[in-house]
Amino acid sequence: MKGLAYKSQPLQSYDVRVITSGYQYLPVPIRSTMDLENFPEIDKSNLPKLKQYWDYLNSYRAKVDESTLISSDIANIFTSPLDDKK
Amino acid sequence: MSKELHQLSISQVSKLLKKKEVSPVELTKICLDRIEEFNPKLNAFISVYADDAMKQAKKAEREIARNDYRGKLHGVPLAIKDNIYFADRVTTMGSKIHKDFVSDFDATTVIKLRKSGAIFLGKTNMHEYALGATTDNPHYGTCRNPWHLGKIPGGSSGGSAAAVSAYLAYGALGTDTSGSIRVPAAACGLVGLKATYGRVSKYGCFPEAWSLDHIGPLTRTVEDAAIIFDAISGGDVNDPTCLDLKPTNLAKKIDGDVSKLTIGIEEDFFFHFTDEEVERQVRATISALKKMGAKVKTVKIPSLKDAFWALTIIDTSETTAVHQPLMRDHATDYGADVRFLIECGYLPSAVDYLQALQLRRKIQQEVSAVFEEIDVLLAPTLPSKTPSVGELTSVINGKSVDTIETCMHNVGPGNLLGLPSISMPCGIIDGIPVGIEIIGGPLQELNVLNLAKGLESTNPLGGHVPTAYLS
Repeated sequence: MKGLAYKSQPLQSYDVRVITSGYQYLPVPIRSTMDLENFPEIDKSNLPKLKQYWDYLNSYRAKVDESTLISSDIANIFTSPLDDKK
Repeated sequence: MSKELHQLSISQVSKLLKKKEVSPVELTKICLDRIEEFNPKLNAFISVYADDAMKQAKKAEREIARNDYRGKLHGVPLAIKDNIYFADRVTTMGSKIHKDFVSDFDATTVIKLRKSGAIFLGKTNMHEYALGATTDNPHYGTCRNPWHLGKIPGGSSGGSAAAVSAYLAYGALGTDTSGSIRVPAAACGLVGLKATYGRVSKYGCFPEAWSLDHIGPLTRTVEDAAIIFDAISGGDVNDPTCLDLKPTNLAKKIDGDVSKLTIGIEEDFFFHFTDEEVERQVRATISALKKMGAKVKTVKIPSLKDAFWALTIIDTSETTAVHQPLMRDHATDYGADVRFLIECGYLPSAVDYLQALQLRRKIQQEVSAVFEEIDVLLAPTLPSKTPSVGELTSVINGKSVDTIETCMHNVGPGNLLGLPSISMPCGIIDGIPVGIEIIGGPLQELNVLNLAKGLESTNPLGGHVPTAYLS
Protein backbone atom coordinates (compact mmCIF):
# COMPACT_ATOMS: atom_id res chain seq x y z
CA MET A 1 0.00 0.00 0.00
CA LYS A 2 1.44 3.30 -1.05
CA GLY A 3 0.93 6.01 1.51
CA LEU A 4 1.46 9.68 1.93
CA ALA A 5 3.77 11.59 4.16
CA TYR A 6 2.77 15.00 5.39
CA LYS A 7 5.44 17.54 4.68
CA SER A 8 5.46 20.94 6.29
CA GLN A 9 8.16 22.09 3.90
CA PRO A 10 10.20 20.57 1.10
CA LEU A 11 12.89 18.22 2.34
CA GLN A 12 16.35 19.40 1.45
CA SER A 13 18.93 17.08 0.04
CA TYR A 14 20.81 16.83 3.32
CA ASP A 15 17.68 16.78 5.48
CA VAL A 16 17.52 13.59 7.51
CA ARG A 17 14.05 14.18 8.91
CA VAL A 18 11.31 11.66 8.67
CA ILE A 19 8.07 13.44 9.33
CA THR A 20 5.78 11.50 11.60
CA SER A 21 3.09 14.05 12.31
CA GLY A 22 -0.06 14.31 10.23
CA TYR A 23 0.50 11.05 8.39
CA GLN A 24 -1.88 8.26 7.53
CA TYR A 25 0.43 5.86 5.82
CA LEU A 26 4.09 6.16 5.11
CA PRO A 27 5.97 4.61 2.23
CA VAL A 28 8.83 3.78 4.61
CA PRO A 29 8.73 2.53 8.18
CA ILE A 30 8.49 5.24 10.81
CA ARG A 31 11.86 5.51 12.46
CA SER A 32 12.46 8.81 14.09
CA THR A 33 11.36 12.39 14.41
CA MET A 34 14.92 13.62 14.59
CA ASP A 35 15.36 17.07 13.10
CA LEU A 36 19.09 17.47 13.24
CA GLU A 37 19.07 20.95 11.77
CA ASN A 38 17.47 22.19 14.95
CA PHE A 39 19.91 20.45 17.27
CA PRO A 40 22.25 23.20 18.44
CA GLU A 41 24.99 20.70 19.23
CA ILE A 42 25.11 19.39 15.66
CA ASP A 43 27.89 20.77 13.50
CA LYS A 44 25.96 21.84 10.40
CA SER A 45 28.92 21.06 8.17
CA ASN A 46 28.44 17.42 9.18
CA LEU A 47 24.88 17.24 7.82
CA PRO A 48 25.86 15.79 4.44
CA LYS A 49 27.88 13.03 6.13
CA LEU A 50 25.08 12.43 8.62
CA LYS A 51 22.70 12.07 5.69
CA GLN A 52 25.00 9.39 4.32
CA TYR A 53 24.89 7.61 7.65
CA TRP A 54 21.11 7.95 7.71
CA ASP A 55 20.94 6.41 4.25
CA TYR A 56 23.14 3.55 5.46
CA LEU A 57 20.82 3.02 8.42
CA ASN A 58 17.80 2.99 6.16
CA SER A 59 19.34 0.65 3.64
CA TYR A 60 20.36 -1.77 6.34
CA ARG A 61 17.02 -1.55 8.11
CA ALA A 62 15.51 -2.94 4.96
CA LYS A 63 17.89 -5.90 5.10
CA VAL A 64 17.26 -6.87 8.71
CA ASP A 65 15.12 -9.98 8.71
CA GLU A 66 12.69 -8.94 11.42
CA SER A 67 10.83 -12.23 11.18
CA THR A 68 13.78 -13.90 12.90
CA LEU A 69 13.73 -11.41 15.74
CA ILE A 70 10.29 -12.07 17.14
CA SER A 71 10.85 -15.30 19.03
CA SER A 72 10.45 -14.95 22.76
CA ASP A 73 13.98 -16.23 23.10
CA ILE A 74 15.65 -13.52 21.07
CA ALA A 75 13.18 -10.88 22.19
CA ASN A 76 14.64 -11.29 25.64
CA ILE A 77 17.18 -8.59 25.04
CA PHE A 78 19.27 -9.11 28.12
CA THR A 79 22.47 -10.58 26.78
CA SER A 80 25.52 -11.80 28.53
CA PRO A 81 28.28 -14.07 27.35
CA LEU A 82 27.32 -16.35 30.22
CA ASP A 83 23.64 -16.71 29.34
CA ASP A 84 24.07 -20.28 28.22
CA LYS A 85 26.09 -21.16 31.29
CA LYS A 86 23.59 -19.92 33.83
CA MET B 1 72.99 -5.36 31.50
CA SER B 2 71.14 -2.03 31.52
CA LYS B 3 71.34 -1.78 27.78
CA GLU B 4 69.14 -4.84 27.32
CA LEU B 5 67.13 -4.63 30.51
CA HIS B 6 64.44 -2.53 28.91
CA GLN B 7 63.79 -5.24 26.33
CA LEU B 8 62.99 -7.97 28.83
CA SER B 9 59.47 -9.18 29.43
CA ILE B 10 57.60 -8.78 32.70
CA SER B 11 58.11 -12.45 33.50
CA GLN B 12 61.85 -12.08 32.89
CA VAL B 13 62.36 -8.94 34.98
CA SER B 14 60.15 -10.29 37.74
CA LYS B 15 62.59 -13.18 38.24
CA LEU B 16 65.47 -10.72 38.47
CA LEU B 17 63.52 -8.52 40.86
CA LYS B 18 62.64 -11.43 43.11
CA LYS B 19 66.27 -12.51 43.25
CA LYS B 20 67.24 -8.88 43.91
CA GLU B 21 69.51 -8.89 40.88
CA VAL B 22 67.86 -5.72 39.63
CA SER B 23 65.92 -3.15 41.59
CA PRO B 24 62.59 -1.49 40.84
CA VAL B 25 64.44 1.83 41.00
CA GLU B 26 66.77 0.73 38.22
CA LEU B 27 63.87 -0.41 36.00
CA THR B 28 61.85 2.71 36.65
CA LYS B 29 64.81 4.96 35.91
CA ILE B 30 65.37 3.15 32.62
CA CYS B 31 61.75 3.62 31.60
CA LEU B 32 61.65 7.28 32.65
CA ASP B 33 64.87 7.98 30.76
CA ARG B 34 63.45 6.32 27.66
CA ILE B 35 60.20 8.26 28.00
CA GLU B 36 62.15 11.50 28.21
CA GLU B 37 64.19 10.59 25.15
CA PHE B 38 61.58 9.04 22.86
CA ASN B 39 58.18 10.33 23.93
CA PRO B 40 58.62 13.60 22.02
CA LYS B 41 58.69 11.51 18.83
CA LEU B 42 56.00 9.04 19.78
CA ASN B 43 53.50 11.09 21.84
CA ALA B 44 52.73 7.91 23.76
CA PHE B 45 52.21 9.62 27.12
CA ILE B 46 49.89 12.45 28.08
CA SER B 47 51.28 12.71 31.59
CA VAL B 48 54.35 11.20 33.23
CA TYR B 49 54.52 10.65 37.00
CA ALA B 50 58.33 10.76 37.21
CA ASP B 51 58.71 11.77 40.85
CA ASP B 52 55.89 9.60 42.08
CA ALA B 53 57.09 6.61 40.04
CA MET B 54 60.52 6.89 41.65
CA LYS B 55 58.89 7.06 45.10
CA GLN B 56 56.86 3.94 44.31
CA ALA B 57 60.01 2.24 43.03
CA LYS B 58 61.97 3.02 46.20
CA LYS B 59 59.09 1.68 48.28
CA ALA B 60 58.98 -1.51 46.22
CA GLU B 61 62.75 -1.82 46.54
CA ARG B 62 62.49 -1.66 50.34
CA GLU B 63 59.67 -4.20 50.38
CA ILE B 64 61.52 -6.68 48.19
CA ALA B 65 64.70 -6.15 50.20
CA ARG B 66 62.92 -7.32 53.33
CA ASN B 67 61.49 -10.32 51.41
CA ASP B 68 58.00 -8.88 51.30
CA TYR B 69 57.65 -9.91 47.64
CA ARG B 70 54.09 -9.63 46.35
CA GLY B 71 54.34 -11.35 42.99
CA LYS B 72 55.30 -10.93 39.38
CA LEU B 73 54.22 -7.30 39.05
CA HIS B 74 56.02 -6.13 42.17
CA GLY B 75 58.40 -3.38 41.13
CA VAL B 76 57.45 -3.54 37.44
CA PRO B 77 56.83 -0.17 35.72
CA LEU B 78 53.53 -0.02 33.81
CA ALA B 79 51.59 2.62 31.88
CA ILE B 80 47.85 3.27 32.12
CA LYS B 81 45.52 4.60 29.46
CA ASP B 82 44.25 8.06 30.28
CA ASN B 83 40.59 7.12 30.62
CA ILE B 84 41.27 5.07 33.76
CA TYR B 85 41.04 7.10 36.96
CA PHE B 86 43.81 7.78 39.44
CA ALA B 87 42.81 9.49 42.69
CA ASP B 88 43.95 13.10 42.85
CA ARG B 89 45.42 12.98 39.36
CA VAL B 90 44.15 14.49 36.14
CA THR B 91 42.47 11.98 33.83
CA THR B 92 41.85 13.64 30.50
CA MET B 93 40.13 10.88 28.43
CA GLY B 94 42.31 12.35 25.69
CA SER B 95 39.93 15.30 25.57
CA LYS B 96 39.93 19.06 25.92
CA ILE B 97 36.66 18.90 27.84
CA HIS B 98 38.13 16.78 30.64
CA LYS B 99 41.62 18.32 30.54
CA ASP B 100 41.37 19.31 34.20
CA PHE B 101 39.25 16.44 35.49
CA VAL B 102 40.56 15.03 38.76
CA SER B 103 38.99 11.89 40.15
CA ASP B 104 38.74 11.47 43.91
CA PHE B 105 39.11 7.70 43.67
CA ASP B 106 41.24 5.07 41.96
CA ALA B 107 39.76 2.77 39.34
CA THR B 108 39.42 -0.81 40.56
CA THR B 109 42.08 -1.93 38.07
CA VAL B 110 44.46 0.69 39.48
CA ILE B 111 43.75 -0.45 43.04
CA LYS B 112 44.44 -4.06 42.06
CA LEU B 113 47.68 -3.24 40.24
CA ARG B 114 48.79 -1.06 43.15
CA LYS B 115 48.21 -3.97 45.52
CA SER B 116 50.26 -6.20 43.25
CA GLY B 117 53.15 -3.77 43.61
CA ALA B 118 53.20 -2.38 40.08
CA ILE B 119 54.75 1.04 39.52
CA PHE B 120 52.79 3.61 37.54
CA LEU B 121 54.85 5.60 35.06
CA GLY B 122 52.02 7.79 33.84
CA LYS B 123 48.97 8.00 31.61
CA THR B 124 49.02 7.21 27.92
CA ASN B 125 47.72 9.02 24.88
CA MET B 126 44.52 7.76 23.31
CA HIS B 127 41.95 8.58 20.68
CA GLU B 128 39.73 11.25 22.23
CA TYR B 129 37.21 9.54 24.56
CA ALA B 130 38.35 6.22 23.02
CA LEU B 131 36.18 7.06 19.99
CA GLY B 132 38.47 6.11 17.15
CA ALA B 133 41.16 3.75 15.96
CA THR B 134 44.05 6.05 15.03
CA THR B 135 45.12 7.90 18.23
CA ASP B 136 45.48 10.97 16.05
CA ASN B 137 44.62 13.24 18.95
CA PRO B 138 43.97 16.94 18.22
CA HIS B 139 44.53 17.95 21.85
CA TYR B 140 47.60 15.95 22.91
CA GLY B 141 49.29 15.29 19.60
CA THR B 142 49.41 12.48 17.09
CA CYS B 143 50.66 9.24 18.56
CA ARG B 144 53.15 7.45 16.28
CA ASN B 145 53.86 3.80 15.58
CA PRO B 146 57.38 2.87 16.83
CA TRP B 147 57.80 0.54 13.83
CA HIS B 148 57.13 3.33 11.33
CA LEU B 149 56.49 6.88 12.45
CA GLY B 150 54.25 7.53 9.45
CA LYS B 151 51.89 4.72 10.45
CA ILE B 152 49.18 4.82 13.08
CA PRO B 153 49.78 2.90 16.29
CA GLY B 154 46.13 1.87 16.13
CA GLY B 155 43.59 3.00 18.65
CA SER B 156 42.06 3.96 20.75
CA SER B 157 44.75 2.62 23.13
CA GLY B 158 47.51 3.72 20.76
CA GLY B 159 49.62 5.41 23.44
CA SER B 160 49.67 2.27 25.57
CA ALA B 161 50.72 0.20 22.56
CA ALA B 162 53.41 2.65 21.44
CA ALA B 163 54.80 2.86 24.99
CA VAL B 164 55.13 -0.91 25.38
CA SER B 165 56.35 -1.47 21.83
CA ALA B 166 59.12 1.14 22.19
CA TYR B 167 60.15 -0.23 25.61
CA LEU B 168 59.00 2.85 27.50
CA ALA B 169 57.00 0.56 29.82
CA TYR B 170 56.94 -3.18 30.47
CA GLY B 171 53.20 -3.41 29.99
CA ALA B 172 50.14 -1.21 29.88
CA LEU B 173 46.40 -1.12 30.39
CA GLY B 174 44.13 -0.26 27.51
CA THR B 175 40.41 -0.28 26.97
CA ASP B 176 38.51 -2.02 24.19
CA THR B 177 34.98 -1.22 23.00
CA SER B 178 35.35 -2.02 19.31
CA GLY B 179 38.87 -3.38 19.16
CA SER B 180 40.76 -0.61 20.95
CA ILE B 181 43.23 -2.99 22.61
CA ARG B 182 43.59 -5.50 19.79
CA VAL B 183 43.95 -3.06 16.89
CA PRO B 184 46.89 -1.23 18.54
CA ALA B 185 48.40 -4.58 19.52
CA ALA B 186 48.27 -5.66 15.89
CA ALA B 187 49.70 -2.40 14.59
CA CYS B 188 52.56 -2.33 17.11
CA GLY B 189 53.51 -6.03 17.19
CA LEU B 190 52.18 -6.67 20.69
CA VAL B 191 49.90 -9.02 22.55
CA GLY B 192 46.57 -7.39 23.39
CA LEU B 193 44.01 -9.22 25.49
CA LYS B 194 40.34 -8.39 25.93
CA ALA B 195 38.84 -10.99 28.24
CA THR B 196 35.23 -12.09 28.58
CA TYR B 197 32.85 -9.17 29.21
CA GLY B 198 32.65 -8.62 32.96
CA ARG B 199 35.87 -10.47 33.86
CA VAL B 200 37.59 -7.16 34.64
CA SER B 201 35.93 -4.37 36.58
CA LYS B 202 35.37 -1.14 34.69
CA TYR B 203 34.71 0.89 37.83
CA GLY B 204 36.63 4.13 37.49
CA CYS B 205 36.93 3.99 33.73
CA PHE B 206 35.16 6.62 31.66
CA PRO B 207 32.60 4.71 29.60
CA GLU B 208 32.41 4.61 25.85
CA ALA B 209 29.56 2.15 25.36
CA TRP B 210 28.68 0.32 28.56
CA SER B 211 27.61 -2.99 27.07
CA LEU B 212 30.75 -3.24 24.92
CA ASP B 213 33.50 -1.79 27.13
CA HIS B 214 36.43 -3.85 28.41
CA ILE B 215 39.76 -3.14 30.14
CA GLY B 216 42.79 -5.31 29.42
CA PRO B 217 46.56 -5.53 29.02
CA LEU B 218 48.94 -4.72 26.18
CA THR B 219 52.23 -6.55 26.56
CA ARG B 220 55.19 -7.94 24.66
CA THR B 221 54.50 -11.60 25.51
CA VAL B 222 51.52 -13.86 26.06
CA GLU B 223 52.61 -14.75 29.59
CA ASP B 224 52.88 -11.04 30.45
CA ALA B 225 49.32 -10.50 29.25
CA ALA B 226 48.17 -13.32 31.53
CA ILE B 227 50.14 -11.88 34.48
CA ILE B 228 48.42 -8.51 34.20
CA PHE B 229 45.04 -10.09 33.47
CA ASP B 230 45.35 -12.30 36.56
CA ALA B 231 46.09 -9.19 38.63
CA ILE B 232 43.11 -7.12 37.43
CA SER B 233 40.45 -9.85 37.00
CA GLY B 234 37.76 -10.75 39.50
CA GLY B 235 34.40 -9.53 40.77
CA ASP B 236 33.74 -5.99 41.93
CA VAL B 237 30.58 -4.85 43.67
CA ASN B 238 31.18 -1.35 42.35
CA ASP B 239 30.69 -2.49 38.74
CA PRO B 240 27.24 -4.01 38.17
CA THR B 241 28.40 -5.53 34.89
CA CYS B 242 31.31 -7.32 36.54
CA LEU B 243 30.94 -11.07 36.95
CA ASP B 244 31.05 -12.40 40.49
CA LEU B 245 34.09 -14.56 39.89
CA LYS B 246 37.43 -15.01 41.63
CA PRO B 247 40.57 -13.57 40.05
CA THR B 248 42.11 -15.87 37.48
CA ASN B 249 45.42 -17.65 37.84
CA LEU B 250 46.17 -18.35 34.20
CA ALA B 251 49.82 -17.32 33.91
CA LYS B 252 50.82 -20.54 35.64
CA LYS B 253 48.49 -22.67 33.54
CA ILE B 254 49.50 -21.64 30.02
CA ASP B 255 51.40 -24.46 28.37
CA GLY B 256 51.16 -23.46 24.70
CA ASP B 257 49.99 -26.94 23.76
CA VAL B 258 47.93 -26.33 20.62
CA SER B 259 47.40 -30.03 19.90
CA LYS B 260 44.40 -30.14 22.22
CA LEU B 261 42.71 -27.22 20.47
CA THR B 262 40.32 -27.10 17.53
CA ILE B 263 40.52 -23.90 15.49
CA GLY B 264 37.44 -22.66 13.65
CA ILE B 265 37.81 -20.68 10.42
CA GLU B 266 34.81 -18.58 9.39
CA GLU B 267 35.62 -17.57 5.83
CA ASP B 268 32.55 -15.51 4.92
CA PHE B 269 32.85 -12.87 7.62
CA PHE B 270 36.50 -12.81 8.66
CA PHE B 271 38.23 -13.47 5.35
CA HIS B 272 35.86 -12.19 2.70
CA PHE B 273 37.69 -8.95 2.08
CA THR B 274 41.26 -9.09 3.31
CA ASP B 275 44.46 -7.64 1.95
CA GLU B 276 46.13 -10.40 -0.06
CA GLU B 277 49.46 -10.19 1.76
CA VAL B 278 47.79 -10.10 5.17
CA GLU B 279 45.63 -13.07 4.21
CA ARG B 280 48.66 -15.01 3.00
CA GLN B 281 50.42 -14.36 6.31
CA VAL B 282 47.44 -15.40 8.40
CA ARG B 283 46.81 -18.56 6.38
CA ALA B 284 50.51 -19.47 6.69
CA THR B 285 50.12 -19.11 10.45
CA ILE B 286 47.08 -21.37 10.43
CA SER B 287 49.09 -23.96 8.47
CA ALA B 288 51.91 -23.70 11.00
CA LEU B 289 49.50 -24.26 13.88
CA LYS B 290 48.09 -27.25 12.04
CA LYS B 291 51.58 -28.70 11.72
CA MET B 292 51.98 -28.19 15.47
CA GLY B 293 48.98 -30.43 16.03
CA ALA B 294 46.02 -28.08 16.16
CA LYS B 295 42.87 -29.27 14.44
CA VAL B 296 41.39 -26.85 11.92
CA LYS B 297 37.74 -26.80 10.97
CA THR B 298 35.72 -24.59 8.64
CA VAL B 299 32.61 -23.20 10.33
CA LYS B 300 29.63 -21.15 9.22
CA ILE B 301 28.11 -18.34 11.27
CA PRO B 302 25.68 -16.70 8.81
CA SER B 303 24.28 -14.19 11.29
CA LEU B 304 27.70 -12.53 11.59
CA LYS B 305 26.67 -10.61 8.49
CA ASP B 306 24.61 -8.44 10.86
CA ALA B 307 27.40 -8.03 13.42
CA PHE B 308 28.75 -4.75 12.11
CA TRP B 309 25.29 -3.22 11.94
CA ALA B 310 24.42 -4.33 15.46
CA LEU B 311 27.75 -3.15 16.84
CA THR B 312 27.47 0.22 15.12
CA ILE B 313 23.97 0.85 16.43
CA ILE B 314 24.76 -0.22 19.97
CA ASP B 315 28.09 1.58 20.06
CA THR B 316 26.87 4.90 18.68
CA SER B 317 23.63 4.88 20.71
CA GLU B 318 25.32 4.14 24.04
CA THR B 319 28.17 6.53 23.28
CA THR B 320 25.84 9.40 22.49
CA ALA B 321 23.80 8.68 25.61
CA VAL B 322 27.03 9.03 27.60
CA HIS B 323 28.05 12.23 25.81
CA GLN B 324 24.67 13.95 25.50
CA PRO B 325 25.21 16.17 28.57
CA LEU B 326 28.68 17.15 27.35
CA MET B 327 27.45 17.80 23.83
CA ARG B 328 24.93 20.34 25.08
CA ASP B 329 27.57 22.64 26.52
CA HIS B 330 30.86 21.61 24.93
CA ALA B 331 30.11 20.45 21.39
CA THR B 332 32.76 22.68 19.87
CA ASP B 333 35.44 21.35 22.21
CA TYR B 334 35.39 17.88 20.64
CA GLY B 335 37.72 16.97 17.81
CA ALA B 336 35.90 16.99 14.47
CA ASP B 337 35.91 13.20 13.95
CA VAL B 338 34.75 12.43 17.47
CA ARG B 339 32.01 15.05 17.36
CA PHE B 340 30.74 13.51 14.14
CA LEU B 341 30.67 10.01 15.65
CA ILE B 342 28.69 11.28 18.61
CA GLU B 343 26.28 13.05 16.24
CA CYS B 344 25.77 9.74 14.44
CA GLY B 345 24.38 8.35 17.67
CA TYR B 346 21.38 10.67 17.42
CA LEU B 347 20.16 8.88 14.32
CA PRO B 348 19.34 5.29 15.34
CA SER B 349 15.86 4.91 16.77
CA ALA B 350 14.91 3.06 19.94
CA VAL B 351 13.64 0.30 17.66
CA ASP B 352 17.02 0.13 15.93
CA TYR B 353 18.80 -0.17 19.27
CA LEU B 354 16.50 -2.88 20.57
CA GLN B 355 16.66 -4.82 17.33
CA ALA B 356 20.44 -4.56 17.46
CA LEU B 357 20.30 -6.15 20.92
CA GLN B 358 18.07 -8.88 19.48
CA LEU B 359 20.51 -9.42 16.64
CA ARG B 360 23.31 -9.63 19.18
CA ARG B 361 21.46 -12.45 20.92
CA LYS B 362 20.78 -14.22 17.64
CA ILE B 363 24.46 -14.07 16.67
CA GLN B 364 25.39 -15.18 20.17
CA GLN B 365 23.22 -18.28 19.83
CA GLU B 366 24.82 -19.24 16.53
CA VAL B 367 28.30 -18.63 17.86
CA SER B 368 27.55 -20.67 21.00
CA ALA B 369 26.52 -23.60 18.82
CA VAL B 370 29.76 -23.31 16.85
CA PHE B 371 31.81 -23.26 20.04
CA GLU B 372 30.38 -26.70 20.84
CA GLU B 373 32.61 -27.96 18.01
CA ILE B 374 35.64 -25.69 18.23
CA ASP B 375 37.77 -24.05 20.92
CA VAL B 376 38.78 -20.85 19.17
CA LEU B 377 38.09 -18.81 16.07
CA LEU B 378 41.04 -17.39 14.14
CA ALA B 379 41.00 -14.29 11.93
CA PRO B 380 43.21 -11.44 10.78
CA THR B 381 43.00 -8.73 13.44
CA LEU B 382 43.05 -6.07 10.72
CA PRO B 383 41.86 -6.95 7.21
CA SER B 384 44.24 -4.31 5.85
CA LYS B 385 47.88 -3.41 6.35
CA THR B 386 48.45 -0.83 9.06
CA PRO B 387 47.07 2.52 7.78
CA SER B 388 49.17 5.66 7.53
CA VAL B 389 48.69 8.63 9.86
CA GLY B 390 45.94 10.93 8.59
CA GLU B 391 44.56 8.36 6.18
CA LEU B 392 40.77 8.42 6.34
CA THR B 393 40.60 5.64 3.79
CA SER B 394 42.75 2.54 3.43
CA VAL B 395 43.32 0.37 0.41
CA ILE B 396 42.54 -3.34 0.32
CA ASN B 397 43.51 -5.08 -2.90
CA GLY B 398 43.24 -1.84 -4.83
CA LYS B 399 39.87 -0.84 -3.40
CA SER B 400 39.47 2.19 -1.13
CA VAL B 401 37.78 1.45 2.20
CA ASP B 402 36.96 3.47 5.31
CA THR B 403 39.86 3.15 7.77
CA ILE B 404 37.73 3.09 10.92
CA GLU B 405 35.26 0.53 9.56
CA THR B 406 38.16 -1.62 8.41
CA CYS B 407 39.80 -1.49 11.81
CA MET B 408 36.55 -2.43 13.56
CA HIS B 409 35.35 -5.19 11.24
CA ASN B 410 37.05 -8.31 12.56
CA VAL B 411 37.48 -7.23 16.16
CA GLY B 412 33.92 -5.97 16.64
CA PRO B 413 32.25 -9.35 17.21
CA GLY B 414 34.46 -9.93 20.26
CA ASN B 415 32.91 -6.85 21.86
CA LEU B 416 29.40 -7.44 20.59
CA LEU B 417 29.38 -10.96 22.03
CA GLY B 418 31.64 -10.30 25.01
CA LEU B 419 33.98 -13.12 24.00
CA PRO B 420 37.61 -13.33 25.12
CA SER B 421 39.86 -12.23 22.28
CA ILE B 422 43.55 -11.67 21.86
CA SER B 423 45.61 -10.15 19.09
CA MET B 424 49.19 -11.17 18.66
CA PRO B 425 51.81 -10.82 15.96
CA CYS B 426 51.87 -13.46 13.23
CA GLY B 427 54.45 -11.91 10.88
CA ILE B 428 55.77 -8.77 9.27
CA ILE B 429 54.88 -7.07 5.98
CA ASP B 430 56.95 -4.13 4.73
CA GLY B 431 58.60 -3.84 8.12
CA ILE B 432 55.30 -3.52 10.01
CA PRO B 433 53.83 -6.31 12.17
CA VAL B 434 50.65 -8.15 11.16
CA GLY B 435 48.24 -9.32 13.85
CA ILE B 436 46.14 -12.42 14.16
CA GLU B 437 43.05 -12.52 16.36
CA ILE B 438 42.12 -15.51 18.50
CA ILE B 439 38.56 -15.55 19.84
CA GLY B 440 37.44 -18.02 22.49
CA GLY B 441 34.17 -19.12 24.06
CA PRO B 442 32.81 -17.37 27.17
CA LEU B 443 35.32 -17.53 30.05
CA GLN B 444 37.66 -19.66 27.96
CA GLU B 445 40.62 -17.27 28.22
CA LEU B 446 42.94 -20.21 28.76
CA ASN B 447 42.22 -21.62 25.29
CA VAL B 448 42.93 -18.23 23.76
CA LEU B 449 46.16 -17.82 25.71
CA ASN B 450 47.32 -21.36 24.98
CA LEU B 451 46.95 -20.96 21.24
CA ALA B 452 48.64 -17.58 21.44
CA LYS B 453 51.50 -19.07 23.44
CA GLY B 454 51.88 -21.88 20.93
CA LEU B 455 52.00 -19.35 18.12
CA GLU B 456 54.49 -17.24 20.05
CA SER B 457 56.85 -20.22 20.19
CA THR B 458 57.21 -19.97 16.39
CA ASN B 459 58.86 -16.54 16.85
CA PRO B 460 56.42 -14.79 14.48
CA LEU B 461 58.35 -11.50 14.40
CA GLY B 462 61.58 -13.32 13.60
CA GLY B 463 63.51 -11.33 16.17
CA HIS B 464 62.63 -8.00 14.57
CA VAL B 465 62.10 -5.07 16.93
CA PRO B 466 60.87 -1.55 16.25
CA THR B 467 63.65 0.91 15.49
CA ALA B 468 61.96 3.75 13.57
CA TYR B 469 61.63 5.89 16.71
CA LEU B 470 65.36 5.63 17.50
CA SER B 471 66.64 7.82 14.66
